[in-house]
Amino acid sequence: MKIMKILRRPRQSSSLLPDRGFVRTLQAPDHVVFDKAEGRYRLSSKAFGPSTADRNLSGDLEELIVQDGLQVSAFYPAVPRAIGAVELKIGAVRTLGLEVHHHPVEANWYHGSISGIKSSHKDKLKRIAISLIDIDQLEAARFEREKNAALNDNASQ
Amino acid sequence: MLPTLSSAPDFLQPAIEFTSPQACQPSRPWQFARPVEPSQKVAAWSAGLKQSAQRLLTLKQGWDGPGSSEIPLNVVRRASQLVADALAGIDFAEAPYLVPGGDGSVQVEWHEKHGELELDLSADGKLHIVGRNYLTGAEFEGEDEEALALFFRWAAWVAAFDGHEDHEDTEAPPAILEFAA
Repeated sequence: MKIMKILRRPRQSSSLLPDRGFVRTLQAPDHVVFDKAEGRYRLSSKAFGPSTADRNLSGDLEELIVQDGLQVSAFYPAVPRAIGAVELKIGAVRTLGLEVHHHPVEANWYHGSISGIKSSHKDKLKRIAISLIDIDQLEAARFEREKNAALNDNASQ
Repeated sequence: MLPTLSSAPDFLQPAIEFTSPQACQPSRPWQFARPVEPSQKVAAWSAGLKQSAQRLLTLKQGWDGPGSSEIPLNVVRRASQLVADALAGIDFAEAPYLVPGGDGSVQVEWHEKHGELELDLSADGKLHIVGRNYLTGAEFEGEDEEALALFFRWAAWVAAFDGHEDHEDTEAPPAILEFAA
């Protein structure tokens, strides 16, 4: 990936196809909440808030991954505590007045970002999200139990 | 169209009349038939809130991918204080989720059977709230001072513990019913 970042040119934002996806991998326990009305773990809208100090949302660009002959979910196993994945169609993101950029980093040439996100956009992004890998309910519950157990251990020490 | 405080000033009225701890003190100690013990449920939401806050402080830079930052202590403290203030005097309540953002923000969330509430506190002090009453289908949102007023109006209602008998008597703040439905 480091060499890819050096040798390959980033794609222009405007050339990213609108019908391709911006893939957001969800991490437990920080991106999921238990919804009592639905009786299951589901996405927090916070998973679609800015994920960086410069207020961009991080994800992977489906178009570039597929162009290299890989499956969209190829990098899913590499994400720590991955619990599911969703896709935002780039065209739908643009209709909210947001921009999608190719923003390669050393560890991930396919890394992209959505800029211009305000608090009011989170819920709208959540509503246009399409599930790629459904949230693993058992894993979500396990991560929450582990989180609580770790905090209880710390509290008792 | 979503309601705003300017168009619905009664949103600012408290949803539930809280009694201050001082007001609960008997004028004569023998008025209490039995000793008042601390409610276990109060301890539960308070402990749950504390745990969630502690968890946020364990997140390191990069926890949510490249460029994500730690959650500043002052943001965690503010979120915890707002919840504690909103639930003060409420015996039966669920602790909220405190969901971190990679930009150093925190979102206070309840997702209960009767409704949900999400208050986002950004690292620069801005607030944004979204709420839904599932019983009526009403939705609302607001920012900054309006968000704060809505949070204090709705938090106790949405956090009301499902299993408690008083829950049936806990009415939703009435102003929203006709207004936002």
